Amino acid sequence: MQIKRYSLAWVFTPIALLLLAASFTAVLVGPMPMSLGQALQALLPNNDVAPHINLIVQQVRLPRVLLCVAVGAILAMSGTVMQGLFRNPLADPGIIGVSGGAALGAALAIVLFASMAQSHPVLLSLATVPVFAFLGGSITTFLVYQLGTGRNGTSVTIMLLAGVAISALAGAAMGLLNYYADDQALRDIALWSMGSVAGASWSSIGLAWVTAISLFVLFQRDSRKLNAFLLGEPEARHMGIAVESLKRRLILLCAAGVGVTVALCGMIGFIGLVIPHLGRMIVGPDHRTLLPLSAMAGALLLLVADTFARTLVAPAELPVGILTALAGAPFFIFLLLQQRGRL
Amino acid sequence: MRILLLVMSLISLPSWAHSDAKVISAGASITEIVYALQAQDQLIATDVTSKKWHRGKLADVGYHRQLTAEGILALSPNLLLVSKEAGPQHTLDMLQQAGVEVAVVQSGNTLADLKTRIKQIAEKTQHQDEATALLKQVDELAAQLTANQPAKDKRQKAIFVLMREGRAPSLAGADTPADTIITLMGADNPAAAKISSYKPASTEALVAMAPDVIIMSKRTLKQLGSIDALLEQQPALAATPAGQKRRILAIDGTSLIGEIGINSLKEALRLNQEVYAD
Repeated sequence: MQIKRYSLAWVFTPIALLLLAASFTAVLVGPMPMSLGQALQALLPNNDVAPHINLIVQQVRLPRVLLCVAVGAILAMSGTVMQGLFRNPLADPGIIGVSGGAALGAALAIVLFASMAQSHPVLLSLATVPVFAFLGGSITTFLVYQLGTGRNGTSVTIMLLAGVAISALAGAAMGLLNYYADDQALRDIALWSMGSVAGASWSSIGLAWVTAISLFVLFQRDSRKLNAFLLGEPEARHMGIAVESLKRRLILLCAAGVGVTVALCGMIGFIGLVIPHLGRMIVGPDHRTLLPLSAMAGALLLLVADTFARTLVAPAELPVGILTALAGAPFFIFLLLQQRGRL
Repeated sequence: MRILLLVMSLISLPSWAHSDAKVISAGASITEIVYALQAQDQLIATDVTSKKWHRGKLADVGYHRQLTAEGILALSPNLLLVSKEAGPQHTLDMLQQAGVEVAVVQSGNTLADLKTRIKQIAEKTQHQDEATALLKQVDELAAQLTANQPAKDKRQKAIFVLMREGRAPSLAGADTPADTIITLMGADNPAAAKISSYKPASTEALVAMAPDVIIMSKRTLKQLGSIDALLEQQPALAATPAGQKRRILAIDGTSLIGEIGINSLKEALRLNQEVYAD
């Protein structure tokens, strides 16, 4: 059956323009009042704008825009690959346990090192929370993968269930840590688990962009194989695809990608779940076009959400994870209602 | 180069007069002192825990560990008073780079810490005269509390119970302002040896501690209506000496936020007089 699709130029041009517009808007708006001209000038080197405006534009707004774009793209691409690999529309990067593990790692670092960091400030400068979050995510993914892999290769169904079980285990360990945490650590854990892009620095932007671009290139190379996977795993194998190495590679890449975003920004939900659905509605399930579209849409959603996060309750700031969930969940319900007849 | 010029211009600036000082206080214990020093005219914003003093009239910069550079700079303050716990560090660095003085105020729950805090805030807000009076008041309160300490065999056991609807009551352990207040009022906190911070307590443990006095926040007691209603809802409390003698005392909850302050000392003295009246 031939389904009518929009031509690619009609899909990619508007979303690229939207992303560009959203990026400029994010640089132009914020709690600090400044004129359009000032903000644009501050983007140029050797300008003659007031130093505090330069500081805000160059060290607060621009880094956040750049980080949002890379992180949103990583989350959306990983979600797309996960849903394709597991052939499950409810799969998101959290399903292989990477989020739960990362949360546990971060909580461990917050609770155990909070008291030590008071006397040894060196511990804080080593960025223990991001490192522990990344390690936690990697260890749980490895566990889930090992549990799902037997003599006959990796079973995605077992992996899915193992992911649920390991996440529950991580949740229980979090509960234990919450019990031992003092009030301040509790609050830190809560805020961390709601995600924030506020910590944008040039090194984190570099890491996020290198990850995003590498993932894009590597995922794109496997996009035809992912398409074949949609027919079913045995079918893909019969088509001559090395399914085991493909699964291992994609799971590792997703875990690394999500691990990096969690380490840099905490937990930002719903992008990995909702964006791939949206993409599939627009361009269909072909991963060759779905992946780049998801990457751009994910970047756009996080960017818009963060712009609201920065401005809604100024001078304070909302955790961006709350906003992505607030926007994402109703949208997801809308998608479900739209597709109810077809499923 | 630009930053260097900025820093140099700041160094040569004279200290601002009272009227044009714009201060942000991030911490309940700091805000209390700013108000006690009558320096609140200089405040333009506080953190989320300090709302009680200005009743939402000032801007709110959020949680003191999640301060945002742009939000704070948009208020164009010249002084930010924070505790050691405030952050994140890159926000504080950026504020300093933009010419905002970030003053880290002494933390801690001892009387010496409180007095250092008062002196530091008075110096930064140029309210040294008011500080002299305030320090005298602190000394007087402390002296009165020392004078009122009971003899060793008369010391009572007091616990602070935090009740939240539908959840097990929590006890204040070591490292809480509630524990400091219990010590200051001349009582022993049996929970302090076993737990730190606020932890949920089993009813059995609560009875085993056999407290002579149970302290609760005013708001909780008000919500419950009366001591009878409380004992009915928490029958375990009725089994303690405090429940039997109905020695369940209310404390102003705001004296427990952050670190100890002047209000905490006043509450400690009031509780001391209630407990050791006879």
